[in-house]
Amino acid sequence: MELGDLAAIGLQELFRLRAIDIEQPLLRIDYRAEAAEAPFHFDMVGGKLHRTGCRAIPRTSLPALYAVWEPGDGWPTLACPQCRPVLPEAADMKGDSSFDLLYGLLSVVDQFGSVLTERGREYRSSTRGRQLSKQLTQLLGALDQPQREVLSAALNSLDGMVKAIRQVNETLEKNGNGNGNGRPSSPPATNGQPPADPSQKV
Amino acid sequence: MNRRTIPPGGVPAAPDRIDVLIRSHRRRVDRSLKPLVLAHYPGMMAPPGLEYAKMIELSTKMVMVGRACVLIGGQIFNRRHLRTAALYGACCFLGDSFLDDFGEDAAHEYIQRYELLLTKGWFELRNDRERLFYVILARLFAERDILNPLLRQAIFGLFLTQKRDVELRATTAALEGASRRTLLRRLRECARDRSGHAITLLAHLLNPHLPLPCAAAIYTAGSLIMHIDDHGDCHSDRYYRRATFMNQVRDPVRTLGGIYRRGVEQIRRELPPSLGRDLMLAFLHRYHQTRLRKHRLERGRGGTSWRVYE
Repeated sequence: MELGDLAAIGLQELFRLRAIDIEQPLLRIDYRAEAAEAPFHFDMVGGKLHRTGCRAIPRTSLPALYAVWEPGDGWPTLACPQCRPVLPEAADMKGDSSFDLLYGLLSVVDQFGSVLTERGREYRSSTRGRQLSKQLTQLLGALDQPQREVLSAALNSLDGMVKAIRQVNETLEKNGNGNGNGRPSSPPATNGQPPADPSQKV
Repeated sequence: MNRRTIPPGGVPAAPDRIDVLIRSHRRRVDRSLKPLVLAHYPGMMAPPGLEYAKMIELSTKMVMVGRACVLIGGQIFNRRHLRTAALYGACCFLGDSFLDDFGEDAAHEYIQRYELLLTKGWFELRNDRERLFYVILARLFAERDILNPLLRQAIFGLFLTQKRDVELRATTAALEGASRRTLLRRLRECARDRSGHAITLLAHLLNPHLPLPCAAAIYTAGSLIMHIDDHGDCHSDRYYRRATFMNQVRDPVRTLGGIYRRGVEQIRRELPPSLGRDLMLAFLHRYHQTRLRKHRLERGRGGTSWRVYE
């Protein structure tokens, strides 16, 4: 069995055995809360881009609405003539921040790639995460200089370990020995760009 | 004709060349999925292996549609696209089986468990089928930044439509008494959204940067596929008391013809000319024709046949 499959099944085995706190989410796909904050909604049925809450959105299109943060090229031709959406200032555009990696690292290791970010965000905003954050702040305040240096060395080791894991993953992927279950090693592939190697064409 | 005569990343336009492309993709899909099935749910391959064969056909269909979407986005279809689309087809096949093949109670229970998976990430694996489904889902999630907002909305939109579909089945009798028009409208919207979200998810799994102006036409293509599919499954769905828009309308062939014509017109109008658009239209034409034929063939078989159709 592939290593990634084994890890994925293992996580659910922990859930089945109730060996972990199942109230803590592993991954949340549900985007409804975030979608409500988006500046625009696109009606997949009518093909129109609306301001969020536009009254011209047909009721029958509600299940086919997608929240849109940045509509990209070509959107003016799709703009609803009634609400006339305009692009907000860049400062108002809420993107998905990717600064929660450290918190995620505490919970899940490399298998789920981008899930780490979301997991960390969930964890940090949870009661337990807030408590841990408070305790950490108190703990750090109470450390003397030598203790701080030890902590710093430990964190650097952790960082080095993550980098080493990623390097191994990249090497395996490049050599074609990856398990096919990890995220691709290079950004162009992640973004679905054509592969550098023409032999990968099908 | 061998596969070397197919333009790299492109599509031959003639119907016989579409045949070649389908056959080629079917072989690759089989190579991609077989090891997974053998590792996690070998029972699915037991003779005569009809369920596995059906899964391969659905996955091949997803690869064809996925290929069209990749080309519409101006990219070259590569191995990773094929692997992702094949996984997605298998995932849809197994997910649909939980909803359709084990009775209403099982369908309701699956909806609850799947909701937990999408809101918390937890899914208890109870048997080999569920294990295969979960492994495929995990691999699919690892292929892409699954927390991309559009992907999350497509996944959850698809789930909400499936939930609506299962609830609608349970209340169909009551709705029939209230208003046939209401029933038809709800069934039609449900079919529209189920495959509309499904194709949106597939298209963005393969190309997260698909331009917004293409989105509505692709959604329509998905809806059209659902109506065509439901017409092909009409007798089976009726036998198992699954109400769909296509098995409730009085003249399904004529109704489907109208939906098909309008859908194709929208796709032609809204998608810029490309090999991808041509492939999508060629695939829809072929699928429409084969499902009309399936509907006719299945009429005399009483709705219980378990035949494998392309």
